[in-house]
Parts: sequence; structure tokens; C-alpha cells
Amino acid sequence: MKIVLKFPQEIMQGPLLADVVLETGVRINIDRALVDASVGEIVIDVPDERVEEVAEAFRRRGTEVHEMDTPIVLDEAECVQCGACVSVCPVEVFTYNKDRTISIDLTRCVLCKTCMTMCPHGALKTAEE
Amino acid sequence: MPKSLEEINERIRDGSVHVVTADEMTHLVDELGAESAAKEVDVVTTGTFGAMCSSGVWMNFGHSDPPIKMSKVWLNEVEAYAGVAAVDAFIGATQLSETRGLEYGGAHVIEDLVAHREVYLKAVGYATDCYPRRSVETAITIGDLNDATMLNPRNAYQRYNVATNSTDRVLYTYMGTLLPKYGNATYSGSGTLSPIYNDPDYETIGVGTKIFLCGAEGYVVGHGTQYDPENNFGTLMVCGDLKAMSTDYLRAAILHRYGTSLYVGIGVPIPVLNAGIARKTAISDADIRTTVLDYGVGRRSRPELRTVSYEELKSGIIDLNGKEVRTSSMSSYFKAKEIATELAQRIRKGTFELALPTIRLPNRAILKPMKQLSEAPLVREVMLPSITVHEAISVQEAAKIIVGKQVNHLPVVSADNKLIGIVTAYDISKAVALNKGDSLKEIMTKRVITAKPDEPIDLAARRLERHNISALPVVDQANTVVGIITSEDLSKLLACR
Repeated sequence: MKIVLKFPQEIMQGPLLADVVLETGVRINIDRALVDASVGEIVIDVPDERVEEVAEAFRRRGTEVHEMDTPIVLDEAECVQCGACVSVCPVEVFTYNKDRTISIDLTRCVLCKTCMTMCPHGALKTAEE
Repeated sequence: MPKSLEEINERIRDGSVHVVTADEMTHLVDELGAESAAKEVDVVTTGTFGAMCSSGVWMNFGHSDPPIKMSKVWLNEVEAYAGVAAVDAFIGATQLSETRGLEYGGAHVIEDLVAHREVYLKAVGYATDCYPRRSVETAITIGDLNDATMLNPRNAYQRYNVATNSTDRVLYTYMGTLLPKYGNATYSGSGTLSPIYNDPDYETIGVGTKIFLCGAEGYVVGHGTQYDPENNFGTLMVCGDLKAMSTDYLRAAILHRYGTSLYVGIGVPIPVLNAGIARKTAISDADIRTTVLDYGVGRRSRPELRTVSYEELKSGIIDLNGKEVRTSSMSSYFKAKEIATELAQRIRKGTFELALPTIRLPNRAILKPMKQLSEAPLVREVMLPSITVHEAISVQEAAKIIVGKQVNHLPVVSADNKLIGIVTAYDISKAVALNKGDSLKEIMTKRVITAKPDEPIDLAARRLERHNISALPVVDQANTVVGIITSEDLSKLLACR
């Protein structure tokens, strides 16, 4: 399961992720990380059965923890099933079916948004849009 | 035994016609052989649905009162070409909105018209005795136009090159986003369903051939521009009534950081007049090969990496220099098949009859590059000698050089004269103001963006713009500084062109 961690500026210095890995012994996969002057945001993938434990370990260290929402939304009226999205997605959310329509597996999405700008038809949007 | 087109049209009228799509025909000919397939099948339908930038619509707006001779006209703030009679204009798919830029263009105006959405019209003209009015503003829908005739100078490319990117940065092209270091490859074209590949000798596709154009019945005007039949890059110029088109088969598109384009749906029916034609319509994805080009090189001749078949492209992965590279289609095979199927359906229902060309398309053409009065200047020809400094000198010494030589940029070199950094007058001022940095090495920018002596200056200018910087040290193969090129010098030069 993918969860989003938001680090307030005060705790960005420490080796937080390493601490949590050592404490829980869970092998966390980092899907996406954005750290700049004001905020640190990391998307991690954690085995489903250990999510609560890992989330709790982060919360104790002052990190905001969210479940990742429905990442990308497809506007079916705009999609022409070309597949431009297929090759730019780093985690293979999109695949061609036998009839050349596109299958979408949103559970893999890390919200990098590359597909959104690649789509010539504006058919891929974030849930907020 | 050969059939005549009249016999086929007779079967369309009496409902006995046998139509298959081009991908189905491939299997049929495999099973039955060309002779039997030709007896069995009367018509093979093809289809394609992809970005076709060379598309647009001729419109006639009707006359206002008092009348105006439009010299410039805009639809939803996208300019249409009005340099013809008073109220005729042509809107092209890639013309961008003057207010919304890359987000909206001629293709969107065309889609809005087809969707019966209201479009805002603005026109200006110079007053004459017969056309006294100088400007007009109104709102129209497609029904208000006397004519809305799609006329696309270059559509239905027989095949297209595959695009990939060897550089270490993301490229935004008309072939979509190309990820760095061969991160992906994009292609276009419907392969086995490609209209021209199913009639490569133009036996049935020619002037006057009736086609399916974005849902309407259209026809082939002639060969398209940039027509190159000998190299299997045939194209078609096509025409049809926009008023009969549907957004199911026509869509505006935005290619990120490139511009707008129009996805056009075309279906061409091929009458199976004899076994020879049947054999040609049996072409498969494996038979159609195309070339992978490196779009990382911004020159007319892009490096060719290898050839691939559409079958390999459709598998989702191609091999480039030992790396598995994922592929994307920019055109929609699914829609292409839908179009071929819809066209087959119309023929079976008797609502679409076939026409043979009145004039055959040429089987040869000469495709020339642009005649240029002068070659684009190279960096080498316009660069200035650069003053370089050694990494070990102090900020104070560098400041003296900047003032003394009246330069803004100082490339920094190592003991063996290799480029290792750059400092600007601003970096120096900042270091002095903050009282930090004794040697240049501490304050210089280490990742230097450079130019090569044998590049055209346009590429250097684009690099300056992209990185928002004002100078590029010019380095040779050995990373030795051989000169410098600044935005100031470049803008003077480009302004003269």
C-alpha cells in the first residue's frame, strides 16, 4: 500500500526513514520524494499488513501520514486509446490490451504526473481537478 | 477473375457485398491465397486515427451589413488566414490562440465547430467603396457558416519514423514527451490498417477516391505535401464537409510544450478488383518497417538508430543498443480499427459506394530540403575569444579581471586547461557582499552548460533560453575552452536574419 509522508521543516534534518526502517524492520520502497526549502513529501510503498505499524512509527516522530488517494482520474470521454501514456509511466500503470485499448492499474500510481502532460487529449487529471 | 468497380457497387446496392477490414484480410489471404480471397472479398477497409498537423478548414462566413472585406480574422482568438475573398478564411490546426497560447489552437476551434459550440468571431478590414466596414465581432456556430470544408494538405502518412532521445534531458516534441537516455520511444501509424500501405502502387487511391473523413464522406484531392512514394512515405491531400463530421473521429490535441494538433480519422476503402490487389491488402504489421530516429539531435538529419517493424513496436518494447525501451503509440490503433469497421458497416448497409480515381497519383516525387541562401551560422563563426581563469585565483583577482576586461563571465579552468566551472560578475559581487569565498573554486558554478564549435547558433540560442542563462563557454572534444558565446552577441546576430 502506498502512503504519503509529509515532514515539517523542523524534522527534515534527521535520518527519519532510516530510523523507522531499523525500528520496524520493514523494507520500505520509496516511490517518489520531493524535498525543498519548505516541505518534504515522500511517497512510500509498504506491505499491506505492516502499514499501521509503519504509519505509527512515523507519526511518533512528528510526520504527517496519509493514505494516497485515488491518484489519477481518467476522463473516458476524452481518451482515444492511443497509449501515449504507456511508455512514459515509470511504474507501468498503463498497458495495452489485446484489442489495443488501454488498461489502467491505479494501485501502482506514484503521482509523478508525467502521463498527464504526455496525454494529447487532456484525458488524465488529478482527483482535485 | 477480375471484377469491375461497377460490379462491386452493384453488390453494395443489392446488399450482397463482402467487406472485411485490412487486418482481417491479412489472415484471409494467408488461409485462402490471394486468388480465392479476391473472389471472396469485394472491399477491404483501412483506417488511421492520429495527429495530423497539416489539417484545416475553409470557411465562408456570409456577408455582414454593411459588408466588410476581412483582411484579418480570428475565431476564439485564433487567427485564420483571410488573404482571399472578402469573407472566406482558412483555419489551420496548429495556429495558436493569441491569448491562451499552447492550451488552445486552431484544432480546438475546429473541434468546437464540429461539436456545435459557439465560436467568437472577430475580423478587421480596410474600408473600400464596395466593402465600407472596418471591423466586425459576432458569435457563430457551424450552422451559421455557408461552407465549412475541411481541406487537409497532408494526411494519412503511409508510415512514420519512431522517435527516441539519447540526451540526458527530457524532450518535448510533436512525437510527445521523450524521456532521457532512451527512456522511451514513440511511434505513429496504424500498420496493417494503413490506407496507403494497403494500396502501395496507388491502383485505387487517387484523385477522387471516396473516403471516410472524420465521420463524413470525403474524397482524395491528390497526393499530400511532402509526398515521397518511393520511400514509402506517401501522403494524401483530403477534403470533406465539416458539417457532416463527428467528434467521435476528430479531436483537438495538445502536445505538451510543443503546440496543438488535430487527430483526424480517415478510412479508405480498397476495391478488390483482382488477385494482385488482394495480395497487397494482405500486408501485416511484421511487413511494415520503419526507422528509429534520435530526436536528441536538433538537425534536419537525425541519427538513425535501427529499423523496426510495426509488430515489434506494438509488442511494447524494442531493443536500442542493448537496452529494452518501452514504446507508445501516439496514434490510436483502436480508433483506426473502429473507423475501418464503421466504414465496412456503411458499405454493407449500402450507404457508401466506391469511386475509382479520375487521375492516378504519381509513383515518383522529388522531396527536397529547403533552399537556403546561406547556411545557418555555426557557433565557431560567431564565438568570441574567451578569457579563462585558473581555479586557484582569489575572488579579488577575478573581480579585477572582470572590470579590466569588461566581461560578465569567466570560465574557470584546471591546471591542465580543462573547463571546470564558471563565475559571473554577479557571483563575484555576491561573494564580496557576503564576505565569503577566498578562492574561485568555492563560488563558481560547477555544472557548466556549454556549446560545441560546430553546432548551428540556433541550438546554442535555444540552450541559453532553456537554462535562462546569458553565456555558454565553447569547448572542444577535450573540454578545453576555445571561445564564448553570449546572449547579447547572439541576439544582435539573430536580429539581422
